[in-house]
Amino acid sequence: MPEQLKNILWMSEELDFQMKPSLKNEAKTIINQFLERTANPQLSHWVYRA
Amino acid sequence: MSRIRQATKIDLPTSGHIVSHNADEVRAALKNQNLSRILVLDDTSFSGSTNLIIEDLVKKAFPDRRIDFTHGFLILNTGNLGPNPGAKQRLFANGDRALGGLEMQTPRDDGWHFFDLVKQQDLENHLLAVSEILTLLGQPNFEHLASAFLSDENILKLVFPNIFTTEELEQRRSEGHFIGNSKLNGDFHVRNPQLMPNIIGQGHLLPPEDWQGSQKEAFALLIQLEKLLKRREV
Repeated sequence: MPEQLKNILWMSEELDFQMKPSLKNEAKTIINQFLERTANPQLSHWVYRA
Repeated sequence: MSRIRQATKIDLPTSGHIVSHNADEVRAALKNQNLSRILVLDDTSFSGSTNLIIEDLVKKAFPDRRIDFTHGFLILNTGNLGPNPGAKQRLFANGDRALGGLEMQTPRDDGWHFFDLVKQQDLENHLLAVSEILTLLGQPNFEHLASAFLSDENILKLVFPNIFTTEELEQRRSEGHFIGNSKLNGDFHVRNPQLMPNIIGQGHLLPPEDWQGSQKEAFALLIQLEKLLKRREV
């Protein structure tokens, strides 16, 4: 995984913790799989909200 | 309150906001409360507009009371939106307090509600229609082509399930439940729209031809996520 993408996912994890602590692992995995395929490596961050 | 956007313009400009309570209903609900200090909570604020609309609504309900507003967010924008100040600066300029657990700074940072990609009715067919729009994205006359595609009312409703006509919004406005532009442009307006074309257009997602794997596989992940949502396993 490109280093920048790792940073994005780390940032997403941090925001997820802030936004929705209860987001379950299966949903997190799917979201991360989608972003790994589609996200621009220059992306700043994503906000998770159910 | 919910932001309403103009469905037939490709950049989905804001038409206004639907509010659950009009000024009379706010007054009835809060008349016996001490309103000297009000805390308004929201998840994220980019421009501060939503909070200022709430603040104006409460002030309209209680024009004779002195109220200090504090606005609290999980994420607060401290940057600018084009030539205009972002949320923190606008709320401070309004004489309010504003604080966020995290701060972001546009245009350096940006954020999207991920679940807006997924929480759409008839998701499989919805994504087929979105896929058609995505094929037009690289075209020089994209806006014209996309508008033509969306001019079919059935397709428009498939892409934007939560759609309102101008007449419906004017009816809500007459009841005080819609606060928006004095003149509504276009015939259709939408709540919680699918924003994938806009997210790609702004460079936050890659165009589908650059995705790893096929578009079908990527959309299958969104459909899988929606099934979890429906089973409340998110």
